[in-house]
Amino acid sequence: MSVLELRKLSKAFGGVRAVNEVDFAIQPGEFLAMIGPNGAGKSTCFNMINGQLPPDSGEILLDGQNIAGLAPRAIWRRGVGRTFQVAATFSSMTVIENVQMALLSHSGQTYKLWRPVAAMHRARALDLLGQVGMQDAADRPSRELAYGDVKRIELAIALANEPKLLLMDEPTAGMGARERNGLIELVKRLVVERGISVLFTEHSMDVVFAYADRIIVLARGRVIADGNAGDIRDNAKVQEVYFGTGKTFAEQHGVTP
Amino acid sequence: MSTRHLYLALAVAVGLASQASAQDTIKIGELNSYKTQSAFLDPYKKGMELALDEINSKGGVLGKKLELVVRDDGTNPGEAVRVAEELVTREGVVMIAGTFLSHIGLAVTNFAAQKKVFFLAAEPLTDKITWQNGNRYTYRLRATTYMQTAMLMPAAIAAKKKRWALVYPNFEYGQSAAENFKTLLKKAQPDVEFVTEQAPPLGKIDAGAVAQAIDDAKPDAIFNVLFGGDLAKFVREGNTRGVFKDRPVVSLLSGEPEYLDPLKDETPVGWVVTGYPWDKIKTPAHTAFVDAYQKKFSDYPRLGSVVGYVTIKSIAAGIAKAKSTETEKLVEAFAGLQLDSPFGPFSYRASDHQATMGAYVGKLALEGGKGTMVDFKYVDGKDVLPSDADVKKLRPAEAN
Amino acid sequence: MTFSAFLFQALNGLSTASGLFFIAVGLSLIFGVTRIINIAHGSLYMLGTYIAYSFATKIGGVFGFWGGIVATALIVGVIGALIEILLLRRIYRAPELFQLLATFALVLVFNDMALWIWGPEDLLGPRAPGLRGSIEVLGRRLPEYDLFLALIGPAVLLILHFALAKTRFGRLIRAATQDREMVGALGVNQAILFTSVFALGAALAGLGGALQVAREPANLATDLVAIGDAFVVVVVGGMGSISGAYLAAVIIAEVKALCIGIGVVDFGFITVNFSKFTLVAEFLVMAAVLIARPYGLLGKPQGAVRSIAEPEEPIRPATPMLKMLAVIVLAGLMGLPLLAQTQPYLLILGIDVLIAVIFATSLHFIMGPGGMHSFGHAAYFGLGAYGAALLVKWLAVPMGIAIAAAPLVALAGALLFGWFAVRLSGVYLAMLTLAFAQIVWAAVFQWEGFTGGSNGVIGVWPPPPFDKAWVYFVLTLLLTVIAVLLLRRFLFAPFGYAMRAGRDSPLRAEAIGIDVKRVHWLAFAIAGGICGIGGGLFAFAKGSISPETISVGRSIDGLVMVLLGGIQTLTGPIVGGSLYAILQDTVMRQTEYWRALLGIIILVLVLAFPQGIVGAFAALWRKRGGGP
Ligand SMILES: Nc1ncnc2c1ncn2[C@@H]1O[C@H](COP(=O)(O)OP(=O)(O)O)[C@@H](O)[C@H]1O
Ligand SMILES: [Mg+2]
Repeated sequence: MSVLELRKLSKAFGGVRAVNEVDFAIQPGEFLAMIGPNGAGKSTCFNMINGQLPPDSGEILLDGQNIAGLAPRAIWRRGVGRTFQVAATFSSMTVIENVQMALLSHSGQTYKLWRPVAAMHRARALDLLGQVGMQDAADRPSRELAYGDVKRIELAIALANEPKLLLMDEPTAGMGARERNGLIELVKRLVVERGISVLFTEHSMDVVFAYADRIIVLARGRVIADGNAGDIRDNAKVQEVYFGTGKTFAEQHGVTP
Repeated sequence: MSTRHLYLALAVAVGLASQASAQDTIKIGELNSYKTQSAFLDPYKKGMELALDEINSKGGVLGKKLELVVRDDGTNPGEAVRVAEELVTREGVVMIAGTFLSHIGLAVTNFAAQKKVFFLAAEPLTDKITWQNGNRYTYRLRATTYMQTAMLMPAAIAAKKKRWALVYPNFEYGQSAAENFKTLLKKAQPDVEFVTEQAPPLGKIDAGAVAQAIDDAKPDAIFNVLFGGDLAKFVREGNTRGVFKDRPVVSLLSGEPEYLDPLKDETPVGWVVTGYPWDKIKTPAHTAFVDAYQKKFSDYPRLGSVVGYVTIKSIAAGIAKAKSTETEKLVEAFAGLQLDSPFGPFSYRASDHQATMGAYVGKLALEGGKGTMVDFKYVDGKDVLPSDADVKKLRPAEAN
Repeated sequence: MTFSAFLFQALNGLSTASGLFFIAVGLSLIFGVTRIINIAHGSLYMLGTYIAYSFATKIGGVFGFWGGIVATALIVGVIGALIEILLLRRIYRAPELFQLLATFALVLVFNDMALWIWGPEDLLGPRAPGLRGSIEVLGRRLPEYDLFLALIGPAVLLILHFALAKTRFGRLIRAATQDREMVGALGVNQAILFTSVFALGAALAGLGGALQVAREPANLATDLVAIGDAFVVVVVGGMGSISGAYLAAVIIAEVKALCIGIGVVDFGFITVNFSKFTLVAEFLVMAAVLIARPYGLLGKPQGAVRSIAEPEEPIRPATPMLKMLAVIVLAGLMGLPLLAQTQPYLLILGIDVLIAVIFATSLHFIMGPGGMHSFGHAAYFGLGAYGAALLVKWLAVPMGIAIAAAPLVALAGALLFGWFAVRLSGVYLAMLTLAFAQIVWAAVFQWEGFTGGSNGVIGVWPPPPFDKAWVYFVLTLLLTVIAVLLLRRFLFAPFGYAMRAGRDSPLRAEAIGIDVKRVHWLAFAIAGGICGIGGGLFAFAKGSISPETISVGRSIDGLVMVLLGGIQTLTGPIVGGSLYAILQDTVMRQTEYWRALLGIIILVLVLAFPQGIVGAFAALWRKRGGGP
């Protein structure tokens, strides 16, 4: 059974059909990329899956159960982690406290009034930070970090509840090429090691074609293609959406939009 | 309680180091809402200063000069109690006096009983200070709400009007004045009807609407308790809208210069009021007071000036009679204390600790574009106060 | 009430509405663009009435009156510009709300300034030349000037509306109201924009005040009355919406006029005097509107205001130095009872200071780490105090039980009001908490039979041995230390972290399973409960309790304490609360113009320590590399 399945998912803002009857599914352990030009509806899709936006219609099946319209925290409890297009961390906390907060919530300790946080889940948090390569920055204020590092922290936070599905909206935005490859490689490794399914959006075609198991292309709120790197590269509709007629990904090689 | 002993021992040690020096003045503590009630209390303060000068230039009391320690009470009962404590504990005053608003006066009254401090309430009008909440340590100077209302009753009854409208500020003073008025008038005239009661919040009257609502209730006569800014707004709106036309109005305090003077040519002619026609009282005692006041401040006295002046005079007389500044002796000396005031002689009743200083009742008139009182007479407080036996029933047993 | 009487009262309401609109519209514009809550706006309105009075009486005649009104608006506009240039511009980078502190200081200064210039007496201006009389409507007399006021409000609304829609300046104001950063990005000179908006807002306030000169006396209490009304109107209408402000003004004025018109009604089993509801009518309207429409009638959700202040440092456990300091301070306080004989007042002041510390620390708990700017914290102080006092009055319970019950009563109130309040955010939350506090105040004030009305409850004195100041001081000290340490403990525990998480990024917090509203609701309740301890102690310390304890002024005192100390530090409220309580005590004693003095001291502190006192020292400490 798929981890996640969208059925005719739709959302409109005023007259704009941001997401229009989208169907697709993610299999366990799959590294699935969602691409599409700006404004295609990717973030809106993510926001509906993690509960931030209620869909107008359609179903979101997580392990076969419809989660459409549930609150983000309820969906998170069912094992969906997420990172945001504009990274969101707790700026008044240190790096490790950010992760500890997620671990505390995961273990149902949010309302504990007595024991100091400092000693709680520290080892586990360090471990998670280690996995994203941020162990050394553990006790620095998170607001001092470079943007790329903040994205890594977000990843560590998102992993704290041992999700079966990870949603990553443009995880590499604002990163240089090397950093970008590093991060995606890291995520890919986690997918393989832990068997997590990941749905991510990404602008760099290099990265997408190199790492994704499967690719979905969204344009004007609709899925226009779904397949592996080869299929997408050769898909005429996709080429038209991205480059207008006549050009192909091959000619664009090395250039990222 | 070993810590307590330790504290005591150390306290004695520290205390020895800083013994207060010998006193050659008698310190009186005074607290009032100077910031928020300045129209009344500015002249009041001047009145106190005048009395203080007079007393001290004649050698003071018991051979010592009187010294006044004046404080703002923050217009807040909680703060007033702290200020009172400060006066007693830090300044070492022998007694406290003052307060303006009724609820602050009540809080300090209660403080006086608890801490066994002598308190002379100067201005607050609520009956409770000397009756329901009265206590051994508190005396009060100003004629109370009950007394002032009673002073107006002859005029209210003589008006022979059946339908009355009431307007009063929505707090202790206004509420109790309205209650007193209703009770007294019902007693004298059982068929009286109270057709509307308007109780706007103090200082926030929506005067047009209130005046209109009174007019719409079609009363034959009006009883007013508004004062200050509320009164000025109400009078202007009422005049423009013809609310007071052909309707007798009986009004508390409106003849006091503090509240009358701002009305200028809007003064509602014909209202029967309690007040203070300072320029028309020609008794020797009053003339002497006005002359001295004008000489010192180049300003005319308001009612507050008289209250401040008599407050200090009362204190001096009380201490002189007690021959001491001890609280218990002062309490006893004030019982039945007689003295003269610009309004004439009066006394502090032993029964309810209320002074019998009266007020002037008369009609508002316009002279030279300014408000004034005509056909006025002085009503002595003792003529309107209930008997000693009656007030004894009103006061808590332990207060007597 | 007949139908024609009803219609006529509605007409009366329109002239009052114009007055409210003038007070509110400037505040709304200023807040919309600069995000500053200008508490001194009521003072500008008050100055308007005074200045117009001087013109109308010193120059007199048609020119003195009408020309004076125009001149007044201009003068007050210039004052507004000066406030922005000389004061506020220096502290834009301070943590949010800090500007509120500066404008609060101005309220104090302006009030004493008016007292000094115009004296204490109410000053009733002349009637308006040309509009002295009244006209006949519905068989009643309507003052011509009221009619004029009823018309000039909508007229100014139209002019403003047109100006905002059609001029470049207007478009800039609208853009800035939507998104402040964007205007900066467009290369507009922000300083000039802010100054002009401040001047415009102030001029409107001055105009409003000046127009009242023919209706009501210039009076030193107007400033606070006006700012209270202005807040309500702006929030009901929706921050930044001028049409909303007019709509709200009309609704509030009409509700009040209706209450007055209805007067006393006998329902058979109970007689209700509706005119007494004018005390709280506007706050009932505000609470209802905010619960139904969280952004006011015509307001739009505000984009999150990205604070331009330095973000907050992570909280750290007390350093050895801080711990040592705490021990020294505590030891000093424990030693105070030694002075019971020689310096008895120190103990009494000490009790007040400690109670202020409880008040400020509990407010800071939700204001700082919780990001909920409560403008009605006095409600919970009052609930605690009244809870304790009424238990003594009606059930004659011993002091121990009464003081133990105080936080429970406050907690219950905070649970109820907090449930609604946490659904809002920013200034709307602030105003809803204010409305609730006013409602509590009015209930206490009106329910005479139970609460003692305006007199409050008297005679709540502690029994022996607590009647000795030093014993009561020790009790207060003990409870204060417990309260402060408890709150601190909560902040370092998961709950406190969850609360900060919800403040830092609600999005992220929800995405990791934190129920932000629920956490903030409980935090609000905890803060209320702890504050109630202070209330209970206060009642017994003063032997009485009165509605003033719940007044807006008291709530603002709390804000001042927190901001003075520094909102971003945990020890800030302790220092701020103590300092403010001591300042009030000493300053009130020093001078006749104590308000101005207090205001000037706060201004100096504001300019010297734009992050609060503790905040400034902490920053200095960090700059020096965190010390040895
Ligand atoms: N909160 C919103 N309100 C109105 N329109 C929105 C909102 N969020 C997204 N949109 C619109 O929906 C469309 C899809 O946006 P988005 O999902 O952010 O695209 P992508 O992430 O693929 O760039 C765009 O046209 C965008 O303008
Ligand atoms: Mg996007």
